[in-house]
Amino acid sequence: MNRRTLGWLAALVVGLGAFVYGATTDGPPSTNADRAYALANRYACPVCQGQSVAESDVPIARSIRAEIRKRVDQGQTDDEITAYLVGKFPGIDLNPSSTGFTGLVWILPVVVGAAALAGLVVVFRRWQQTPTQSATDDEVELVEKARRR
Amino acid sequence: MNRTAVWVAIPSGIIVALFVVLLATSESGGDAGPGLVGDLAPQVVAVDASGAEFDLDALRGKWVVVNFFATWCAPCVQEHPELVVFSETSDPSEVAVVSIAFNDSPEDVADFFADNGGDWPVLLDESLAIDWAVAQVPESFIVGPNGRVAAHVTGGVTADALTDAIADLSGDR
Repeated sequence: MNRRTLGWLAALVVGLGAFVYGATTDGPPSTNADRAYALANRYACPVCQGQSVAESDVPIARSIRAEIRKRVDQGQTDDEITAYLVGKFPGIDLNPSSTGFTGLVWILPVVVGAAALAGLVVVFRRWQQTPTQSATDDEVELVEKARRR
Repeated sequence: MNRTAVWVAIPSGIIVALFVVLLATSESGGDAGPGLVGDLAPQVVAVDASGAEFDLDALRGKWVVVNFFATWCAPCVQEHPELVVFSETSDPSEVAVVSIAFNDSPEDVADFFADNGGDWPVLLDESLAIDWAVAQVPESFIVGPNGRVAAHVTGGVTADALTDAIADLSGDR
C-alpha cells in the first residue's frame, strides 16, 4: 500500500469516526425549555399543513406546547411524552418509526450510500488498472517512425 | 445495455419503488384523532370556574355532555344558546352538562357565561383538551351512564340533536 493510499485511508477513517461520534454522542444536557422546544419541533400540528407544534400559533399547538413543557418539568422521558401525544393524535410524530416497514426510511439511505461507495471503489479500481497487453515490436517501431518524422 | 448497468439499474429501481410505496402508504402528520367513542371517558378532575371540585366520575349514572368551547370561537358562541336550552329542558337527574374552555382566560369565560347564560360547571384546565384529543372547538362528547364515551360531535350542537342522540343511545326510541 503506497503512502498516497494510506493518506486517503487515514482521511476516510477520521471522517467516518467523526461522523459516527457526532451521530451517536449526545450533546451537553439541555435545559427543560430546550428539551420542550426540541420535542415541539418533533410533532406536527394536528390541524395545520406542514407546520410543527413549535412553529404553529394555533390554539391546539399552544396547548400541546404547554403540555409538553408540563410533562418535561414532571421528569417524563421523551418516549413517554411521545407515547402520550401519539396516543391522542396519531400521526403527530414527524420522526418515522425505526421498526416495521417504516424502518426502511432509516435503513435504505445507509444501504444506498454503501452501494454507491462500493460502486465508486469498483470504478476507480478499473480506471487504475494497467493494460495487460504490451505493444509488439512492430507497433513500437511504427510509433518510433512516426515520432521521427 | 451491458450487464453491469442492468445489475445497477434493477436494485436501484427496486429501492426507488420501495421509497415511493413507503411515502404513499405512510401516515401524514395532522391526521384526525383516534376517537374516544366506546372508550372509558378520560378522567376529568378539576376545580371549576366557581371554585368547586368537579369529578366526571361522580356523574356516573347520568348522561353527560362534555362540551369543549372557547369564547373567541364564533361557532361556540353560536351553539351556546342551544346548550342553555338543552340544559334547561333536560332532566337534571338524568343529564348533565360540563363545559371545558379551550385556550381561554378565566375572566373571559366568566363574562361569557354571565352574558349568555348557563349554570353548569365550567373547567379551565388546558390539559383536558389534549386528554380528550380535541384539536379544534367546538367539540362535544356524550358520555354514557357507564362512563364510556357514547358519541362525539365535531362542530356546533343543537338542543334537539343532543336530545335525539341521547334518546337513541339510551334506546328510548
